[in-house]
Amino acid sequence: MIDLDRDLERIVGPDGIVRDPRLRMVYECDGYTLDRAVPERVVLPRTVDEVRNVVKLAHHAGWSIVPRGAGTGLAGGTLAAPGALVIALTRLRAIETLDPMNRQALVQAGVANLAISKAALPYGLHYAPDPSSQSVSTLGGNIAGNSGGPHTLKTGVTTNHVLAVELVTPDGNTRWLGSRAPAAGGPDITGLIVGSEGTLGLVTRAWVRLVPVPPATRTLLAAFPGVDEASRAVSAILRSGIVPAAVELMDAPILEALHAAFKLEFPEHAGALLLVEVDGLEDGLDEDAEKAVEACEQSGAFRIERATTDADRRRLWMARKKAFGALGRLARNYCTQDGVVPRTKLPEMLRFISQVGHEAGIRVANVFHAGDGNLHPILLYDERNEREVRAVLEASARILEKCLELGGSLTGEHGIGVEKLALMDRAFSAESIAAMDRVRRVFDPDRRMNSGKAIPEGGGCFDGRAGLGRVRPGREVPL
Amino acid sequence: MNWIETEVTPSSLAELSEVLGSDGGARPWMPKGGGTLLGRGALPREPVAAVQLSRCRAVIEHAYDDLTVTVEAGLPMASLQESLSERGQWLPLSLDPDPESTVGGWIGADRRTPLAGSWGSVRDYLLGIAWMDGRGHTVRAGGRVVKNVAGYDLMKLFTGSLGELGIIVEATFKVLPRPARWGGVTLATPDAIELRVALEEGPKLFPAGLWRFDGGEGDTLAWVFAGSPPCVSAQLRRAQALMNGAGRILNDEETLNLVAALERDSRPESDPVAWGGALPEWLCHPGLGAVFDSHSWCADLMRGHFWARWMGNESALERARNALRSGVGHLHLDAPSAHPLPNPWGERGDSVEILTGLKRALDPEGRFVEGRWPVSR
Repeated sequence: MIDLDRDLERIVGPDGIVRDPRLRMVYECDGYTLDRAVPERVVLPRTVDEVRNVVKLAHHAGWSIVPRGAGTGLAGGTLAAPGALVIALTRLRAIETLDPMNRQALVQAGVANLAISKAALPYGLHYAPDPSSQSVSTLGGNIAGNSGGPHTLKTGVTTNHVLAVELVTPDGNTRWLGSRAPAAGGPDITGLIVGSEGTLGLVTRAWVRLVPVPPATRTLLAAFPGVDEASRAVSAILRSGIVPAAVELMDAPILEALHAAFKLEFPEHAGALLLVEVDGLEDGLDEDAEKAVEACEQSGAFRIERATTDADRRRLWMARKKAFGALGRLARNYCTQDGVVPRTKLPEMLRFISQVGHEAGIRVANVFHAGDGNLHPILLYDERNEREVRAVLEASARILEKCLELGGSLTGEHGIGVEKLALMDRAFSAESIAAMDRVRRVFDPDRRMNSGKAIPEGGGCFDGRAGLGRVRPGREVPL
Repeated sequence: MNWIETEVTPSSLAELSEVLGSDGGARPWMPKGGGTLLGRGALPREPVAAVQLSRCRAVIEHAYDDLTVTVEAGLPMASLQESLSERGQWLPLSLDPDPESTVGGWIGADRRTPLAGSWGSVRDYLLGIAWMDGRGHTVRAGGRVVKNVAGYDLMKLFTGSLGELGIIVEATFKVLPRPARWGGVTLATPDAIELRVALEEGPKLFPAGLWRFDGGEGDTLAWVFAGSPPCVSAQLRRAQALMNGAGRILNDEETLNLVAALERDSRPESDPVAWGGALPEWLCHPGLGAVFDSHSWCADLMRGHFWARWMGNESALERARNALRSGVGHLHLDAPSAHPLPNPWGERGDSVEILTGLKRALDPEGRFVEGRWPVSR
């Protein structure tokens, strides 16, 4: 009789399997904590061959597979379905080739995003997508989610920087998709894999594009009476003809948390801060920065601080970087949403978020990529309080539905995961979902790859409870 | 073989839907775009009924403050650029599009120009798409906002699909502010060291184009910059300094003329055009012109695209493809006329099963043209 668990151990070795139930709890969720499920099996392969052999074994055993990177996702994309095998790729952490002449690197899936940039820095290059979790989030996870970040307004998101991927298909075969050289002809399959949330296969390695580090930056922090004025400034900046590297917005609750947690000081009466950065060659940069200043002032900024040194720049960014860490001062738990609206709709959307928070009786803080219209309303709650959990779920759904109503999207960079699956039929027609489902079956006819995520199963006849049996976005709560 | 047997020009998308929904399927449909790049891709397996969307050419929404635009696919690319320019914006795919070429055609053919080296290609700007399937239903992916990861990025599959997956009817792009100034530096007959300096240091000046080309006057290196006047002036000074002061500075107009000329040369006219990609370092090979067997070619040193007027025979083609393999490159041929070549792709790709599966997934009834992709014949 075949002992599949013993076979698994033969492939990855005894230290490649997480058996201890307490240790497996580490894998019960990702950054989205409203849903949790302790996986039955977790493996940590060290090589591409091990990944391939594990997937082959899972194929024969009929196990479903949940790929996992560093677990920093915010939509439950790594939540384990019952009986699923979690394959964590964090031990695939080699940068195999760094080719500065062609500005490319061959990187394993478990390498942290920031490590790629650090390796490329001696050549004056970096890997441009910079999710806020970049010090730990992995390239494989970034590819699964098509991750963005504060600086992707100008440089693009993950899909703009991935040239080719090595994909382990659900039957355990390996193939390279894409090419280091451009214009290979035919449909762009690599572009389909990026952002597919691990539902089409496991990406084990990728060729990524490196770009020169901008030699100069100008950073400014503008204080506004409220989010209305700050969000209007976003459109004004873009209308001025410049393409900033980053435009980030923080509202009053965030400033309150930052002050409570880190004693950071902000201008009195500041209801919102806008962090704006322009970069490029030194020449002409001051003119670009002045255009941003003018746009902010015309939109109601009452104080603007400019960074003149690297230390100043770090200080201005500190509030943005520490924002999430400070939230513990305001609440025991938080749920970060990820809707997108056209940038001109930001004032209306922020007013709506405030109203929803008020009606739901929960606090909502906002710190987000305003330049992309990519909102991150942070809903504060206490998970021990069922009323608050329910309120968070309902408020999240209302916020995302409003994003759609305003011509936006359910998610800008976190993905659908399990969290937003129930809303996909509001965003896309049955025909569109059916087309996506048929594309999925080309790669995974048995739907064993990260099932219950990203795309509703059943080709548009979605019942809202597929896969993991959740209701609404979030946790199953007693009604 | 007259491969385009019939042609329809619906007056609206509703009419197109009706045509597709009621058709008995005598011939597979193939969107034709403006007909300017019909020589791209392999000759289809059987004659087709072409769909011409020249009457579906509306600008649906130019959300200029959001830097996005949504258009019907039959809109000529030139008209789109003209419309965007009224608001000081552009889609940085082309400076001089063929007047007939359409937005849908650019996507379907994955049309690239020398600007693709620095600005990227249509895949990098396409935010959302609508297409009509074989039953005449409108299907959508993506959206109208600049950042969006909801659902699969099916826009990528339609990029380069050559009409095999359905008829693109609508597209949303992100657009950019039009540069205030252009400028360039050219250096005739660059030597190996100058090419290496350009390759290593060129990208650090953030050029709008870094090309090595022969427009009939010999091997030339060109740096092109676009942006604010002080920035472009500084870039020009630095580029010239990197070439020890030897380069010739081009003014705004001369630069735009150069870019437009290189773009025109990337289209097949009387001769076929060889196009594809290789590692940028490989494109600094001293004998590049001999590889292309041509006196009219352009190589992008930023990402590695190339285009060449192709006058060689089959054995020259095989030699060029063999040579390119050492630069992990590939070479395809666009036919000069509207009659595609039997096999313009060279080697079959290694994604045959996936491509075949995707074709079946999105065109389950087999209502659209087949056999145009780089897969086994």
